[in-house]
Amino acid sequence: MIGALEPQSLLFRVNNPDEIINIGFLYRGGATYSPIGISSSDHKLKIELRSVSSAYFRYKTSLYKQGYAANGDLLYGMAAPVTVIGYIKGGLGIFSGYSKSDTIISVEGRTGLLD
Amino acid sequence: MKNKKNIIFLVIGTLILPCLAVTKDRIISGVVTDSKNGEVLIGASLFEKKTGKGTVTDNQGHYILWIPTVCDSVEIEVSYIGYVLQSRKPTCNEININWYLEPSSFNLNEVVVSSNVRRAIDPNLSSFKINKQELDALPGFAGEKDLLKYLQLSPGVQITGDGNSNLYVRGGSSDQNLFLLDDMPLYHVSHLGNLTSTFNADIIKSADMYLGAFPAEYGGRLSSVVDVRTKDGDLYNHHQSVTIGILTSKLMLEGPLLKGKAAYLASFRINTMPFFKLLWDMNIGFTMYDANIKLNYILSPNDRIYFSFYSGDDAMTYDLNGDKENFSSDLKTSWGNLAASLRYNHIFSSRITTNFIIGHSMFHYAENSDLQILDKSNASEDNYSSRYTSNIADNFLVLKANYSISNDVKTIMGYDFYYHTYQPGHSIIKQSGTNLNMIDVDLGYPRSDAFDHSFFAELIVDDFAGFSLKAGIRQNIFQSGKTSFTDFQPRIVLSRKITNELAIKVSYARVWQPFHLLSNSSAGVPADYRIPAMVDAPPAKSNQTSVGISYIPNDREYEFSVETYYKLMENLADLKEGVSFTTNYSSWQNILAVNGIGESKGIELLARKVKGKSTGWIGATLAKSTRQFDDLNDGKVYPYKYDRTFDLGCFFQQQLTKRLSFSATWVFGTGLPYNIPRSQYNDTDGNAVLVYGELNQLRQKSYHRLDVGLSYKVQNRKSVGIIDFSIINLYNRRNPYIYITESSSYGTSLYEFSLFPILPSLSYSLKF
Repeated sequence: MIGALEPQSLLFRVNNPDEIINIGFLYRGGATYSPIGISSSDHKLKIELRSVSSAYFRYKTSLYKQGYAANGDLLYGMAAPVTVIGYIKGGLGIFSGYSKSDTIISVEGRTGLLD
Repeated sequence: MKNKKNIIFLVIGTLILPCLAVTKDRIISGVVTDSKNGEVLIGASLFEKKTGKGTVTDNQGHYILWIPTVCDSVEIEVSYIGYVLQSRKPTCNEININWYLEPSSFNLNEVVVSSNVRRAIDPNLSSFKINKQELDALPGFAGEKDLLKYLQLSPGVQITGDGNSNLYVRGGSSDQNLFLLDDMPLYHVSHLGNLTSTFNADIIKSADMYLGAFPAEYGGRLSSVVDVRTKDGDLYNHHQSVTIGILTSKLMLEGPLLKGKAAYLASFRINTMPFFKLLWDMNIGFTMYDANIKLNYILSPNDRIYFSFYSGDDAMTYDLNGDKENFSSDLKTSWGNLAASLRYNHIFSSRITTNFIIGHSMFHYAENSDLQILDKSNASEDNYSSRYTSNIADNFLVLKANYSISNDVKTIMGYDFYYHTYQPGHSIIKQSGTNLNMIDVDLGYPRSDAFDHSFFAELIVDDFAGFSLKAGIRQNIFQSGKTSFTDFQPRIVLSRKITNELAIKVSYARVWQPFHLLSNSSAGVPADYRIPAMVDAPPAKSNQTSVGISYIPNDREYEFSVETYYKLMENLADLKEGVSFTTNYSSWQNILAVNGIGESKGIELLARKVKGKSTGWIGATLAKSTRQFDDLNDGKVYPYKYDRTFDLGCFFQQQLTKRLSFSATWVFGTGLPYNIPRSQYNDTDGNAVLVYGELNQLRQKSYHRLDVGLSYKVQNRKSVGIIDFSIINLYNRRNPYIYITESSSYGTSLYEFSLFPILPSLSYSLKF
């Protein structure tokens, strides 16, 4: 995964259940880079859309933040560590459920520049 | 209204109070200069031998001394470290005496044998004065004598460890230090990798550091003031000096523009070779330079103009390997300070001297990238460019007046005004071409301007019934947009002489800092934001109390002091957990943890030898420093990142022969706090989740390091050559720099990285 185009993050809040949301994202898909372009081979892409609870949402957000913070480097210095939220007494993590719908699509390999 | 009242009180108070102390003595005034080059000597001490009353010269080398009206029996003595003592009896009519002190050939002050030395108490507490000879003798990294490395050895300043030349003073952070270079504030004072600071030691004349008990003329930072004055340039003879070192090479030129009236000094420093490529095999091109220019002109005995200029830049360039015909890239990160000031010094009468300063100072940081991809077969061309900048600029004006009432009573009054421009983070991204979508975006936080006014006044009473007093007030007004903040800051140091050698001192100082530094960098590149105080993040404030005992034996060869302090900092701001502040341009409220509290307390001991063939000191600090933010660490108090429980800084320099001198530094510090995951688990999606404990609970292993240096002087009739040989980390201690954990199928391992092994280096400088 490289990043979200819209909404700003792939973790997002829906205010109105009837709202139609366009989701755009970039992903690497096993692509290889060369100075003149990028190429990828045929592959399958699984997209899973989850409707989650507020606690799960906060859990995932803090998990991503932890990943970014831990990837500090020598030039920019290390950021302070981020604690992933948890509320299990005597344990770790959270208890949560979500509903999901998924789909698998086949993507053709490509060569050239991203547009 | 309250502000106006404070200002009126401030003005009236400082004018009336001193008038209570009237004296019938006669006045002698003048300037103390170096007889060889005409440089004024700052802090030279003068005293009248009969009464023991004395004074010291100010930043312009000017002094005023009240002596008894009787003729002939009065004798004045002038002394300054590194110069031959002078004394003479003024004639009955003499009112102006300029002193021309001879540098002592052996680089040391002859021990003063006198039954009646100056008895006054030093009215300062929590301050540290550099001794230029010691700085020149410091064993430096790659032969570089560095002011900040020298100051790091003094008690109260944390030993930072390798690759960090920032100052962390009494539990404060690196942005809480006010660095003044000839009155110009500088913001980021380290070159790349923090191997050397922006202060070129060759041109430093004097530097004072205050860690608490701040004089009223300084403000705007919470933790320390480092006031650096550079040399003015030789008024009589031209000199050139060239230094070749492993890290930097230097050129310095000085001499008269008009003999005895005007002088210039120019110095230029540049890195000698691509250091990082060689030392760590990094694929990074690196250049750094700094340039200092100083001009001064003596218009009349009472008027003098100074011009100071500083420019320093660091730049890193990265190579992207690729097909050179079809692909070109230009990636560069650069930063630096640019500053200039003009100072007019006027002596109205021997009692009143004034300084009028205007200037500009700016710090800039930029990341630029340009990429171009050509495809000749398809005749396509694609371009991508991004510019990221983060700047701060100050235009300033300072008015200062010193008024002397008697040998024992002096006042300082003034006003300073800063116009700050903050441009905390700004990106322009452009993309175009055959295969790329057109993108032209302008992202970032808005620029904001601020007006920053301060009025200050200070009264110094020396030796009144066994007491000395330094009492000051400072009124600040900071206005950014529609928001304005004011703060009234009392400062006081009260000293009581127990015996002629022993004094006890108490101080209180309140200071504020109307901007916040947001940074997650501890090393290397200063990709930071400085943002002005705002309603959600008001100016940070600090209240500091200290108590000290100083013991200075009569011959003034040694100084001993013990000091204890308590500092409470409020309204600190920091980044919230895991916020990426260089890419996420959401509002400040989303990324800032505000209303932080910092608490710091400690005991500091200093034993220093200031005169003789060997000088140096041992400084020890026992301290504790914490932080608390509602948004960090679950609101619980945690140790500050640079909290060292105990540290020791030792410096020693010995003149072995006329030509050969030896120096050594040894530092020891208990471990700094750090964080690593205590355990980890995998969640249902298979993501590894790291489990940390509370913030900063683990401690690195202790830090210690011995550096030694030898300096050999080769003197001919026309030139002086100096060979400096130094060894950093003599016993090759692997000091901790960073801790990293790595998991594998065999379990998790903890790795400790060190930066500097034993590093010998050589530099050669030639002065003619």
